[in-house]
Amino acid sequence: MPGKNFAIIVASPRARTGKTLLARLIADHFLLAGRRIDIFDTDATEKSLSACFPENSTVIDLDRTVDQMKLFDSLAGPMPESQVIDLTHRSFEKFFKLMRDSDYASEARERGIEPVIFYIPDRDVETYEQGRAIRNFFRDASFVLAENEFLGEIDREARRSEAYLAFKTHQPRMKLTQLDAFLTSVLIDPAFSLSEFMRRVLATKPADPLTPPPGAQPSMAYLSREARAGMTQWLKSAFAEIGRVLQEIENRPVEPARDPFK
Amino acid sequence: MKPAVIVVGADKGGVGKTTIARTLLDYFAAKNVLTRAFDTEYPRGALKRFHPQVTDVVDITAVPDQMKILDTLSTSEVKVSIIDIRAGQLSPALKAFTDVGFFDEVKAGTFNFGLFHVLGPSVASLEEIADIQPYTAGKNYFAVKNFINETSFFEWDPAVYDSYFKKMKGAVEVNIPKLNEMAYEQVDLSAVPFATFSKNRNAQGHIANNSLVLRGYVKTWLKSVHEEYDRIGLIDRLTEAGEN
Repeated sequence: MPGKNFAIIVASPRARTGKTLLARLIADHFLLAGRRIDIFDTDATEKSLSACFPENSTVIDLDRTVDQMKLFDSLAGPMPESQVIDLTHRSFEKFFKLMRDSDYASEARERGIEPVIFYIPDRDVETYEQGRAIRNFFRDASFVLAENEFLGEIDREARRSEAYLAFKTHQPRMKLTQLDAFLTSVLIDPAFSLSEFMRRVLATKPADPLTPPPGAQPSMAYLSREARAGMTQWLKSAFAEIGRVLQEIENRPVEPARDPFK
Repeated sequence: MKPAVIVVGADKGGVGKTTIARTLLDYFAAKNVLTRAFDTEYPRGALKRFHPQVTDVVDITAVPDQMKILDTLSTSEVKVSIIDIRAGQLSPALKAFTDVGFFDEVKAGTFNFGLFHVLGPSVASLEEIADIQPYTAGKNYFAVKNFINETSFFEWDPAVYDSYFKKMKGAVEVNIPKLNEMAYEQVDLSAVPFATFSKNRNAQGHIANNSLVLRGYVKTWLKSVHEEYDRIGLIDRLTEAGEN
């Protein structure tokens, strides 16, 4: 699968909204397609995304100027591959200020890189408002509304809010669907490689037992046939959602870059 | 527009006079006002390193160089002359200007004049105001608090500050915000105007390889400095008679 180079920013102003899971799914989506990817984990304390991809990830502390340069300068640099940034809620504002002040999106576009913000709102009005502000300001980046069913129902007040309604017809959008507690516990193990799992599932006949190859991730071996089927189904739909959204962005006509200060 | 002279100075060193002069050159260039500069770090030059095309290095105490600055004011195409006065020479320079009758010309309305007095964070810096005061009455006196290098002005007691400040007729306070240190250093190493750095150009006008982040910091900072100059109505003040 050749195609455009993306700089994917997975963002949410809140903790525990599924940013790292979504960033990881996106990264695995690219790896499964045989594409190379650079991963940036901006949570310098927990480093949970970089734990999943120890070989192709960089931990960035956005409080440090050198790290800011490392991130943005490689984001806008000559880029042979796509990039995924897991943006911690602690650096949410800082990151978007830097993105605004450096006029990153238009520089990226000049170099043929498509910046895409995957925004995960929480269940309240405020996160939809923040999302709307980001979407409206960064018009030269693509904005994907990524709703996470793990978070539960959106409250009634939020449903009636102007900000929520502003996203009603927004495209592109995607959903992360619920997964049962056991599979979630398997999923959060950083040693469990999603792309490796899918690659092996796709290479195995459904009836075959999924025996771990020598040196494979051990957690794969623990899955029963039912669990494997459940995991497979969930991952397939998650990867399909991501693939669909990125395809949609790729097919869209390119708008000329705009200076946000004009 | 009458020719205008802007003196940037402080008796104390290391308060960022040259930096302020650089922001002024960027500002007038952005406003399409033809500007030249005189660098008094004779013979080495400080400002000239950043703005070589428009800057002359002069010895402000030497008569030929005084003539070079003042005698060309009316004949030059250039409307604004910025003089970056080296440390310790502000009072002597202003005295020399008085002696040659420059301030009489300003009063008569031949020239406009502005003084950017760059204040350090100490009370000593405030005491300079008293020395400079005789030269500034009725003219554009800008008291510049320069936060660019993270200078903290906490040392100042607001009451003390106000008592000095109120003595100055028509004094205008100018605040220059802090610029990210790395960005400042990188522009310094590149030896180009701030605006050039933020546009990712080198001294020859070719595409440079400046960090996107550092360019962003410089661009945002320079924008806020320009807004500060807009706020004080710098261009208007220099085009009107020096009554305000």
